[in-house]
Amino acid sequence: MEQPVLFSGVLEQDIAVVRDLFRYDDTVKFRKFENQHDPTVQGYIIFTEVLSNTAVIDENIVRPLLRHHFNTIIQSTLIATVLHRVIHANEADFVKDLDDLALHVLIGDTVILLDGSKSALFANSKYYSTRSIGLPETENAVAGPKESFNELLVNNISLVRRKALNPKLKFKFMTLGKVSKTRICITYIEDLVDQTLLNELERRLKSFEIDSILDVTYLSELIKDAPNSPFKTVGSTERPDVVAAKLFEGRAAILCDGTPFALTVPFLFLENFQANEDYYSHYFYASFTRILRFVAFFLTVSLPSLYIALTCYHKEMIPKNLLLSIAKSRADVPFPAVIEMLILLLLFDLIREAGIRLPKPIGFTISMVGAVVLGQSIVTARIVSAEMIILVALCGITSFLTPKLEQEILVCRLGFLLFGATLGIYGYALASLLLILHISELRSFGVDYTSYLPLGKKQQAKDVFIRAPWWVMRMRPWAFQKNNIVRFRRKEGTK
Amino acid sequence: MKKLLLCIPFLALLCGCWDYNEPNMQEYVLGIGVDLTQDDTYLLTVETANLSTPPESAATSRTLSAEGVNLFDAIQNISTRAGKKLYWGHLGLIVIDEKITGAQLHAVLDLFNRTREVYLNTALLVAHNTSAQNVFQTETTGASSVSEHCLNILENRSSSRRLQNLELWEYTRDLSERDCVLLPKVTVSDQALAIDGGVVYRETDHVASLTGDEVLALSLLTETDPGGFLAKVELSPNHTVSLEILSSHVSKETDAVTVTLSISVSAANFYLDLENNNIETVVQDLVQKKLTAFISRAYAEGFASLLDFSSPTPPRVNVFVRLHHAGMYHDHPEDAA
Repeated sequence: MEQPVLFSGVLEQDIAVVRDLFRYDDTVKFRKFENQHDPTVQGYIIFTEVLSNTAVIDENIVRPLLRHHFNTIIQSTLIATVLHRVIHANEADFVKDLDDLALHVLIGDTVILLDGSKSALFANSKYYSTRSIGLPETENAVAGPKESFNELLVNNISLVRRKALNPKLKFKFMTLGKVSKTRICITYIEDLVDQTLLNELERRLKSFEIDSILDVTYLSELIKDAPNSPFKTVGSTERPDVVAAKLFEGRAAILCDGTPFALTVPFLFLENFQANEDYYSHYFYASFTRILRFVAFFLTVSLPSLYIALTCYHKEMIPKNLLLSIAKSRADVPFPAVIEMLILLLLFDLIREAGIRLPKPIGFTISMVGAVVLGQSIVTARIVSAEMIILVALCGITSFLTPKLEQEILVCRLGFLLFGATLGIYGYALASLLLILHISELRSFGVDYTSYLPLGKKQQAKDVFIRAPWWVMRMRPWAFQKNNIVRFRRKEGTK
Repeated sequence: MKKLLLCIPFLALLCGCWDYNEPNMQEYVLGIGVDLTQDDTYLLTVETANLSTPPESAATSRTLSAEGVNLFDAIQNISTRAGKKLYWGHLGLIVIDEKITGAQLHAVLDLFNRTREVYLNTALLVAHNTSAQNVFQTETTGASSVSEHCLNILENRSSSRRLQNLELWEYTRDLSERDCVLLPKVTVSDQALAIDGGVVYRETDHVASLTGDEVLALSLLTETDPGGFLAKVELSPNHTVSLEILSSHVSKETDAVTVTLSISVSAANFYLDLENNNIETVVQDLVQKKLTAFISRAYAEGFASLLDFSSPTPPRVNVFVRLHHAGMYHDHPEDAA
């Protein structure tokens, strides 16, 4: 292999160049070595103290360099000899250029410069302090695996790899971020994924330059279709089993270093209502909970709007006793019903956000006390009516059933409320129509956002509003995979 | 996108939902009474929900009255008195003074027929020997308002087939299909409301006032019941006879819907007839006599169109008898089967 030419070959000059590269960075260490048997073999190792395993460096790199017997030294092949015969590392190679050198030092590898060589080597000595694989925080499940991703890319890759021990499962690396040089990994199953999707994904990832990618949501915003839409067209999950399941359906996933979340593409609207636990529990119960999520979404988006529309425009539709009860409770309330609703929705979101940001030991207590005390006081002070509190609480609770739609619900609920408050039931109908039109026109990486809806495809209906038993869901979603579509079949001779 | 933004304001203008009203800023009308004063002006009494009671207690009602040269004037005066706009969407009951007939009755009912907010399943009652205002000022127990109390009675009577209820839309329909309509009547006695009997109107003219029994007889005649009726005849120790007509659709006494048609007959004649005929025939004859008398009156007073047949002879009503006499229980053969 041809050795890249980086330096002059004069050690002190070369090391000055590298020192200049890492000027003012005291975490990068330079250690000169000289072989004890042949003092002409000398050089420097460069590593970042906080990212490297110093024991590995000592044992596998420094000790061999110091103690190796170089019987005959040919200057032109010395560095190759060191690479292939001296250093003990599972990963080692030539450094391509200065940027590559800097990258290797900064990711925890050890770079080796030799006097007389114009190239440099790197050897793996990475060691990261990171949290262990923990429980998922946003996608809890009673049944099923309890692993979640963490910030280390290699850990995340290993979690996904273990789900499919198949050489068709591919991992393709890319580096994004001019300054941050963040490593990302595109993963897919070769026989199942559509090549057009992969090409489009790569094209989008290469279509921008950005200083840094600190989180996978940066990518999500940059590559999604319809970036101005509140609806996600790129999925996100912190569970490796969910990523694996989506890969098996023909999707692709993106893992990013430093993020405990993975993106999956394409992402369709009805996936917001699917949970991993649906597939780990009995299909009857799973179907029930899935239908519950649809009802919850409808309630959380529609209730405020319908309440305002009915009580302020269409009172004849409300039973008399209920209407009188509502009117009585609102007798001393100073604000119009719409303003009252907006105040309460804002209050609810404030308490929820505060509960997330507060430290765990006190967060729960303060949230509970705040909600109860605030709720009680606000009704007693006649600032809002009791019915409104009940309604907003119900909206909040139902919104938790579809956590993937948290942001969308916020926008939709507000939009529905404004339409309903302005135009009554007609406004609600109008808002519903606009929402349906908007969702229908969205696409995700070439796939219709609503393509799960069973339009003449009976098989697709089996995992939409219900979760059919596994022996019935014989085919993959047709939207992603039209060739290798069968995913379940019974063996011949069995029942 | 620009076209969409331009379309939305136009879409908004197409609808009619501009009447935004807070639920506590309106006066909810539960019932309305219309009287005619001596000066020929309208006295409107409106029963509305009282929202100023404590939140934990149920809503009660209050009444407001106002006069006016016409109904619009009276309604306007009531709105002024109430301080809030009247909301008619939950109007359940309209009570009309018996004295209102002719063009005035037409004006009253036409107003409510045409008011957009009023639902046409509003019940109609006629105040007999009292005023509509008096009806709404009666104390009620067990109900939050007079309207609710009256509607409960009407519903119970309707389920027991004692009374034919009439709603606003039925009144309009019956007028177009028949000459006469029967409106239930409400009276006040000893500070208690009673809904019994009815008042017959031909178009908007008062024709006759019927008692409760007569309304029952009417319902018996107009029932299309091919099976006949089950009668319970009770002989008391002092030899009076009471005849109770039960529904024929059921054979078990406990499930029977009972109607009472009181027929006075002397015990002596009853037993005399029993010697020559079986009990069914005797009771049959008694019922037929009662009905014949009622039909004659209908033709005489001009409300025969309420009956569903044109012949002056009433249809033969089959009556099955269950006799109770001093503890002895005579079962009809069909019951045994």
